Amino acid sequence: MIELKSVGKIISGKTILNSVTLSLQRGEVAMICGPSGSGKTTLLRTINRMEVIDSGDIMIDGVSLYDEGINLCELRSRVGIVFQHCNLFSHLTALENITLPLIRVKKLTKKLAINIAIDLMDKFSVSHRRDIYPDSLSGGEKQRIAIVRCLAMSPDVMLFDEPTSALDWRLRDEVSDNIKSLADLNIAQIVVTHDLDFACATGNRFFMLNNGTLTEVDCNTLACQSTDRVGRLANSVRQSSMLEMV
Amino acid sequence: MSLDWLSFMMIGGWPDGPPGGLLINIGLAVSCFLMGFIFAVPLALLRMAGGRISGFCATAFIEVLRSTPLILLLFWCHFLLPIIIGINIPPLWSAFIALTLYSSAYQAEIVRAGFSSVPSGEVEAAQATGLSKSQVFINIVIPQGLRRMTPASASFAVSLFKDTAVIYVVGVIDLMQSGLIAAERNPNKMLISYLVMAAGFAVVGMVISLIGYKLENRLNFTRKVVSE
Amino acid sequence: MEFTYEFDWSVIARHEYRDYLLYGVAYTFIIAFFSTILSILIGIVIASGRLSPVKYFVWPCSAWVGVARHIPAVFWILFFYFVFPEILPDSLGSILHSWGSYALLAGIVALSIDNGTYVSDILRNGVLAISSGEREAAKSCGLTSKQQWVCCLLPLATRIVLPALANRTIHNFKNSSLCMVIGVTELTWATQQIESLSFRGLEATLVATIFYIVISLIFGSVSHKMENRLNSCRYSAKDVLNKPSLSVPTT
Repeated sequence: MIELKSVGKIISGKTILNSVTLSLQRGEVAMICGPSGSGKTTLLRTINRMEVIDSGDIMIDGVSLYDEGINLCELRSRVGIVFQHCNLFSHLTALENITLPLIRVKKLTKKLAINIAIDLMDKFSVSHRRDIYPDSLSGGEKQRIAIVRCLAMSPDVMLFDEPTSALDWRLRDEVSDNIKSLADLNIAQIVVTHDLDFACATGNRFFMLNNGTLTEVDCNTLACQSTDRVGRLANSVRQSSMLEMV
Repeated sequence: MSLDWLSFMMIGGWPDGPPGGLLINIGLAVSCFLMGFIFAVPLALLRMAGGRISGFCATAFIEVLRSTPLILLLFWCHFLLPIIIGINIPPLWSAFIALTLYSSAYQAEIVRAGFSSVPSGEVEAAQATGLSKSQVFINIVIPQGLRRMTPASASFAVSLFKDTAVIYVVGVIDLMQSGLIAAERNPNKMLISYLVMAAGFAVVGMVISLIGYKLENRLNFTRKVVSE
Repeated sequence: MEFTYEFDWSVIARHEYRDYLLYGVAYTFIIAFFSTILSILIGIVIASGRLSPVKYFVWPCSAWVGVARHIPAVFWILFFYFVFPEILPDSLGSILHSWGSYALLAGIVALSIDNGTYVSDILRNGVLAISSGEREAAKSCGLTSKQQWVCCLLPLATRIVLPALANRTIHNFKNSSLCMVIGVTELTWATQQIESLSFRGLEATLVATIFYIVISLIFGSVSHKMENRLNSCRYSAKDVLNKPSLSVPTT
């Protein structure tokens, strides 16, 4: 379904991605974890060509993103991305946010687009907020709208950039459920996160990205890392309290 | 009869004769603001996304006009442009040309700031859903940019109206000039005609500010919350 | 419509015209410099009036700014030159009238009043832009109220205010050309003088225009550089922790 073949990316002399290889089937959920600055977001952005790669190749359904004469807009409409800060269009209502790409890219009639949008909003129980502007939506609602905006385009691949970072811990389970329900729709998903517990609870394949190198791990390794991190966190808290005493 | 000088300062000879006084200031400010905006949008776009040469030309045009004093620009349009092109230009038209050039340069910068203040995340999100470049521009950048630039545009409109006071130096009989004439003809009314000049600018300026403020509030989508 | 004008640069090289231009440049700088200084003083006074806790200071200053920001600079210039001496007592008025440099003084005062209104607005916004959080943070560190202002709040406000102030100064520099309407012998006046004496104003005006553009661009780029430097010298938390003096002692 989606294949990354030794993808390399260099930004101003620094290797961000180093020969990253990944292959994913429909319905699979890949969780990519790694420390801040390890290139997670860059990797995600290469998959719908928001970032151009320097070497390697990316294929979706056997078609390379870098084929000559590929329709970039059509491609992007098949690859949905949910941004970290949702990036809803702030001058449009929740409903208009969802219908805009349906009307402009898929060329649906306005009526049909609204029907599709309200149907999906119902599934994510946000249809009562349809006429609200993004600034007045809560963090969880924004994210659900952003997910619906991508989902309405009936994508083959969904990408999530740090979906839990802007949410409080109660909403984390909800995001996890949403992602799992998308997997049932036969959508391949790649989720970038540094929340390891969330990753274990949500995904069915796990990867660590470190200094631009991607390695597949199993859930237990991640869980270990997670406890390891708690230890380190406790350490750093201890250190900083010493600093205060100085 | 005794209030002739006041109507002279407000509307000149209008409606029977040529308009003058405050009417000229308002008319010029409005028309030059609109004309300036029409030129400003392509200028801003060229500066933001034009090629190397066209971008440079737009930048040079904007910077030159922004750093030339308005009064000097007026002299260019009134005394020197006729020498260059060999056609005499009536004072009102040279004032119109100068103010239009001036307002197009300033507004180009306002438009540019408005367009570039649209969050890049939203532009990316729009591209990511498959909208083409021109669709992103029409559906996201223009509507948001226009709203974001209203405060700056409104305050520029106020200052443009204020700047129309300078056009009297090329002989347009605007509020300034007619006030000076009135003061000269009745020396005992000097103070009052100066006060009328100041009041004319202040009152119209405040009205423009108020309109801008109302417009700003109306377009401000973040505050527009539809109650459930 | 074709270009028929032939440039004759020898005109501005002739010494009487050259002197007009040189004096013009000097006067332009004098007007711009003194009116900017004076306008900053006026701005500080009005801004502190508007920010003061005393009600009787606040509303006159606010009302003044509300009205004065709509009055054109050229009006102030004409007002101070023609009307102001008339409303003074006769003896004082005639002294001003007969004084040769009165036009220069009137121009400087008028521009200061015009610019001062804007400066006061900029300063007030700068102070208001310091969030209450920053104020509380300074207080909670145990700084006295004088230390709060000197160490934290004023430097912060300066950083906010400086770009706008630089912009106003460029504007004020360009506005100095308005003083020609009362016969101050500054640069724009000089170009018109040369035009009326020699009918060769194009060369002089071109030189003057280039002068204004160059000075504005130089000042603009200097202020831009300064702004960048002020913004880049912010410490990040990492810098502070890496400083050796702050590291945890081993004893």
